[in-house]
Amino acid sequence: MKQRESFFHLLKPDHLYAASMFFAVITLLLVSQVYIYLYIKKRRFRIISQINHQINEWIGMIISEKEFPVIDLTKELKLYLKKEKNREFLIDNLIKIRKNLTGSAAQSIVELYKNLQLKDDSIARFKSYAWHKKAKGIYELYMMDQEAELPDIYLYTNSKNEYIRMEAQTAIIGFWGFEGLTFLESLEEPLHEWQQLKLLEQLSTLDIVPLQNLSLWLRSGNEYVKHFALKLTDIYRQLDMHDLVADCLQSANVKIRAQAIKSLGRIADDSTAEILISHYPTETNDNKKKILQQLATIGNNNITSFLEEVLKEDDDFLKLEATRALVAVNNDVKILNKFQADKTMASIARQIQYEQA
Amino acid sequence: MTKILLIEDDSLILKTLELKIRKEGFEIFCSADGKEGLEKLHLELPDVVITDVMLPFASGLEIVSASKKIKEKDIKVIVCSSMGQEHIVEEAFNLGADDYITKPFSLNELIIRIKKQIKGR
Repeated sequence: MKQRESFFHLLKPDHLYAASMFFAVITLLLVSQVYIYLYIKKRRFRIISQINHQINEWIGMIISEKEFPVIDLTKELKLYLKKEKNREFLIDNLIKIRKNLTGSAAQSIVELYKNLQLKDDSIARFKSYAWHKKAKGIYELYMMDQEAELPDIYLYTNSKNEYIRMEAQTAIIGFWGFEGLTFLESLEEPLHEWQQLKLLEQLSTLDIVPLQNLSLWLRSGNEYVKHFALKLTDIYRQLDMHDLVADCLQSANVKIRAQAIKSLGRIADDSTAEILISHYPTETNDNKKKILQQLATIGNNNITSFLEEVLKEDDDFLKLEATRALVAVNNDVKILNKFQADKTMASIARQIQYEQA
Repeated sequence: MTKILLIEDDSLILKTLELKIRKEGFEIFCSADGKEGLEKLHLELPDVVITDVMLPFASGLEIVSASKKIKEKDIKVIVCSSMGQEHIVEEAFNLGADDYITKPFSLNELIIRIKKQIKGR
């Protein structure tokens, strides 16, 4: 009781009043600060969107002209373009529209980029030590057709940084097409699956030219280059590469062997089925499946005995692929009738018959 | 005057196309999203609709379908797609789209296609 008394003795109404006033002022200050901050942010956002809207209108006007007009910058625009961030925004917008338009409009975009001396910004980014800026600089120069910078960009096709390397390779292929693939000869860094897909997509829009150095790439010490070269062999049906592709079956890399099997199927000659059959026992189950799939398309009834041997394997998926191949090479589903006694084989045969129906 | 409805969510592309189409002497209405596009479609009853396939709030396919359901007018629809959206274009044709153009395209090519649609009405 005495303790309680002494506590309330300390808590005088004046103190309470002072404390509540203090917290009220703090709260008021905080709320007003948040309000002012949000107001400034909103105002800035409104001004920026208004300027951006004007900029878009201005760009649109220039691009939609039949011929590139004389650029007369207003005072506001000159002021706007003084800020690096604004110039970067402008470049981003030009790139965005460049991706969507071709013909004279695309030329006007590049012309505008040059006229506003935005190339200097891209060059500055390209020369930056920060990897993300360098990669962006390469991308901007490539998108704005700055071919003069290509020799410098080429040096980065083997950069240690994945993103710089990817942008540089994309730029080189973008300018030189198939001839640009020469960077593969000096590539020591990885060429990841995603980048391979990107490059193949870029190449898919171009007319094929003879891939004179394909044999070099197939023998490359860089396994990524070898893998990519195998894909090129497959997609562009490079029949004269058959023996080099067959050599890739000896690779220690399972992915390279898998692609080699697929590529061999695409460029098959009379010896291919025999090569795949002799390689079959050394392969992983996944690659064995791939061999059987290729045999189904390139084989003939001479390989029936090999396929019947595969049916004795324990793996049901291999049996299924072998059965499919057996039907395909004999071109007759009735060949499965002799396996009806075996329960597993009977069910596989039913599935194949269902697929054939 | 021939009425064109342009639906495209990228403001810069929308502005560029709008200016180009207007310069060619067409009356143009623009929308930056599918919902607004559908509203303008019913309100303005354009002669030709140019729509992107990927739009916010309502897709290009919904625009195609809605345009073809309008009985008062034979509205022609041109679908703008990007590379790799062939399956959507196929679907758009099944819904009645009259033509398509793949990005990147030239402004002149778009104008030719618009004129072709107007001629065919």
